[in-house]
Amino acid sequence: MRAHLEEEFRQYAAAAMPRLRRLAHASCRDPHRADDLVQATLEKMYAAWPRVHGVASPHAYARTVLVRTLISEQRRHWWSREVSTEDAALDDLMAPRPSADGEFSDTRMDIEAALSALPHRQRLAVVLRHLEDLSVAEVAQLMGCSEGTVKSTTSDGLRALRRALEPAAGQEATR
Amino acid sequence: MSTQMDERPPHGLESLYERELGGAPFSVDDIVAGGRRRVHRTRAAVGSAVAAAAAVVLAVSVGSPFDLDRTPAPPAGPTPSVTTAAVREGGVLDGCTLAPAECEDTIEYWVSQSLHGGRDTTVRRQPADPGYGVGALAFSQQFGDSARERFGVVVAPAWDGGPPAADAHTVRLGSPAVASVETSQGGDSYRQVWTVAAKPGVHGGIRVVLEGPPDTRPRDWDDSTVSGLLDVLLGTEQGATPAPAPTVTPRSASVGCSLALGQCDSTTLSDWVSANLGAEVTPQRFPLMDKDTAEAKRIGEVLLGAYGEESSQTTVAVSFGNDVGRFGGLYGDSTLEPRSPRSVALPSGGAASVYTWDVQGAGTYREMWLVPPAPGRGEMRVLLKQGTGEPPGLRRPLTPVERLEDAAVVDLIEDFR
Repeated sequence: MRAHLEEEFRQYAAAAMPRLRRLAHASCRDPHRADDLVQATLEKMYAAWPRVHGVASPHAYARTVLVRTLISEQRRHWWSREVSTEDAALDDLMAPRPSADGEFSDTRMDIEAALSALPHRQRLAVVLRHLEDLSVAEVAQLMGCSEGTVKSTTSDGLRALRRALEPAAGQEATR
Repeated sequence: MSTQMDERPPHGLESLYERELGGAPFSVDDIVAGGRRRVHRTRAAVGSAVAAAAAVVLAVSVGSPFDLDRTPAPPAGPTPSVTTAAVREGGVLDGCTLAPAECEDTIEYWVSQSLHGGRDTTVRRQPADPGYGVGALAFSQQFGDSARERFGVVVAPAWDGGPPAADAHTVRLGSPAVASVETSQGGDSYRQVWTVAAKPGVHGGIRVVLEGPPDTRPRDWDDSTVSGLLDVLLGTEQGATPAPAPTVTPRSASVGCSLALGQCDSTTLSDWVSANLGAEVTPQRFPLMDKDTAEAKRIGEVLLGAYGEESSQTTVAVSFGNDVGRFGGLYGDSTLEPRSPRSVALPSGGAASVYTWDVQGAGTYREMWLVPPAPGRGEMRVLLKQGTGEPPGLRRPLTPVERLEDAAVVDLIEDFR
């Protein structure tokens, strides 16, 4: 890559890293894997930079790369993944969880745990739709599914989040 | 009203999303270095694919498989990696260790191709201890899951590794080099040190250190991988030793044909497919050409056959030659990472490394079996590719590829060896 393009890429990567990490950390259960995902995404961006650097929104391109890499990895690792963590994780979330000092976990931890407990497609749909603020059509394109599927998956995800957070909210209120 | 409420994310989700994540465990420099490697790998894979595609197109345009008898197999040259320019050619014990600066790409490429821990296989250059002399290079690899698992290698132009320790054992590399190996385990660490003593004027010295928690060793590394790396650096890998003239031996003698290009019996593949899968296949033969040399040089061959219904056809490819491992891009997709490889012992000695890929979206499923070089023979690879079909999933029906067990493919490899 030519020097000026590489310098341009370096500036882009430094600026894009926090945003991509936020997306990856919200979309993956494992923070280490999330960082791996960001690194892989930016490496792919580097390889594509001579073609990409002129586009209107390199971040949209990077987000697409990240999401597709994530989906691809999820598919690739089907043999080692849990079939579903939904029920067990939600049961766990419904139990009171004291922290080291005996206090119950705060709301943010509850939300984080609830988000982590979602099946990966629901989590991804919720993150893209409501946190990345993409339209249903954009999410559908990114996830490679229909708009109807995005709507139902997002709705299921939000419902599961709310269900998981109800007991925690109740405990907060009674304290 | 309630529907609208349901569509809103729970309170606090946005603030969770916006929270500070702390410093990234990688830098922009890491990304740029990784990106460069990715570009390098992609170019290598594309080059291989183009070479193979050109061969196939040519074969199809001719209308028949290549007549290999008209083209005698050239003698094998030392081709330890795609970065052949970084490796001295010539004779035995004439790798890159006399000029370690040339080893850098060789090590990096070899590790990236030979170990399959994803990005864990990144090897970083670091300052060499002054005791190793001028020109020495040092590298280290930190494994992802444990900061205590580590691999390090030092290459020096001239350096006496000293006499082997009392508990060391020796491993013969590609003739005539020998490495002494010291292993110690105790306390909270495992440590293994490989040393190739310098032979001034002939080759330099190499020191490989593996460290990890007790009862384990750094992932992916074992005696064969370390000796493989040493062979590449010394130029003593089997492909670089003066190869004996290929001997044409009938398959019935169980000697095999993986070095004697053009002599592998294509009926072996069709017999095997028929016996294991109950399908008929007529393999075609194509040459593998060395893309890194100025003049096209044939370094291997592929026997290619397809079976099954047209809508879900499966391809079996058997590649053999002196460096068929370089053709990872032949059917592959450079963006795919293999699953963790496992090894399968072959009945007549040696071991096959098994790599598996699968791609759901494309509806393909691939397995590759790579046989490391054995004395007097080249490398061999068996690759299975499922055509269009159901994507892999937990409840999918069994496909022909899945019915192939390790033993079946090992039998095929044995037939060709």
